[in-house]
Amino acid sequence: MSQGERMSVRMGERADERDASGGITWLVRLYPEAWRARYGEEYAALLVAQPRSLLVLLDVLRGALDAHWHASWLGGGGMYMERRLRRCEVAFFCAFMLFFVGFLPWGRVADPTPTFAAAARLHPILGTLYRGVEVLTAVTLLIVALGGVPVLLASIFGAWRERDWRTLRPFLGAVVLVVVYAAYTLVAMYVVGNRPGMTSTPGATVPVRPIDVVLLAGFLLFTLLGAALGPTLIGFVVVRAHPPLRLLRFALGCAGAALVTMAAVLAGTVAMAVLIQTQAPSLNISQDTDLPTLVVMIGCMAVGEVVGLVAFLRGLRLHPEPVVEQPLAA
Amino acid sequence: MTDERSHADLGQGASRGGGSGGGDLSGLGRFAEPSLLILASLAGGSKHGYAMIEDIDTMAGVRLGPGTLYGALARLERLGLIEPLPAEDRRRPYRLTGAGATVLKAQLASLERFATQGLGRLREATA
Repeated sequence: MSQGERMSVRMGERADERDASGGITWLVRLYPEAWRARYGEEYAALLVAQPRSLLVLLDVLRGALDAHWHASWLGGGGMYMERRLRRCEVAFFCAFMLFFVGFLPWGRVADPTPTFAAAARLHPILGTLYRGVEVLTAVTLLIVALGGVPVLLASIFGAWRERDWRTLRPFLGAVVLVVVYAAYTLVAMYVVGNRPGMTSTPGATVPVRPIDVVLLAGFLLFTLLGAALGPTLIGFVVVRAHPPLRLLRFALGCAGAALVTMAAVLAGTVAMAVLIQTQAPSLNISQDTDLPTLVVMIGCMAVGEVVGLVAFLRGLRLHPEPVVEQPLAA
Repeated sequence: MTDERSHADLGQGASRGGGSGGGDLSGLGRFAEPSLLILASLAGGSKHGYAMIEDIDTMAGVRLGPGTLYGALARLERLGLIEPLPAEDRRRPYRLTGAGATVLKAQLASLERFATQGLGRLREATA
């Protein structure tokens, strides 16, 4: 028996011993997807033949780190770029959601309307700023939807065509979340809005019952949970799917444009907060527009802007790189 | 070091190695030495991963780990110094390319010069 034949027999024996363990599969999964597509099978065969030791394990882990670090050119550059771009898009979307949740109390700035109208008559800049920020926010939402919705739809339809339930499950989870949230909101609004005495004596102060407090607290918790879980589930859909690269690039362009309008909205919010504190303290009466709320609001928006900018810049740094296909010699 | 920069460095190394015949693996960083060992192993004929590990162990007394081996293999393949052959079962053999042979020759010649000079100096010192 030649040395090569003896080696093959030894490899076969070790393969039989370890294929059942499944540990090799997990080790190979530590490597990037594109790398696995090129080297995964032969690497798994090599690991099966390797004697087990801590040094081998550490070498595999070090190799996996190296493969991730140099993933753009170590096998499947194009796949790597698309995957990174998807992650950048998802990171931007999550950052935008944080920004948007931070911005939500903005609507309460003009509440109650007569008080705000009186302050705006005295300081016309308040009215102009309020309307300007509202318009900019609407533009931001449109831009994000313009870039994000096609990517999401392409991800869902692509996953549906391939019956890829791993990708579709998070989307179905997001749909269920929206339906449950909407149903809860309707029930809570109905119960709280129709408490005894509410309809019979309009304008009268109606006492709040414990059930109302529970429902409103539940609504707040549900809103926070939905704001965190919704983007996460949608993020899973986009990260796991394979939307076309041109859509991802277009969405990245939209993210860049949205960051500009988001910065303008943030600047407007800061200006409004300063004006309220210095020029129109009469507006500082609601728990939604007092100083701590404004600080938290601006903080969330600022973090969203910075994280979104980092995600955008990371996406911008990715250059298209052709997938190198080495011709196999006959 | 960014991906782009390391790629550029490696590209430079490859062009030096393949183009001018100078043969320089320094752009491969910690994978330079394993790469040289792999090239030397493949000079004896095409081999798959496990056979390379055994051959290098026998030849140089160095046992490459699987992560190091495939880190170096991927780099050498990307630089065109080795090429894959059709897979046999789940294992894929690799073989040396013309550019790989040139780089290996240049590297070994450099080591030979270094060894000759070092041994010569040692002889002079002990004479």
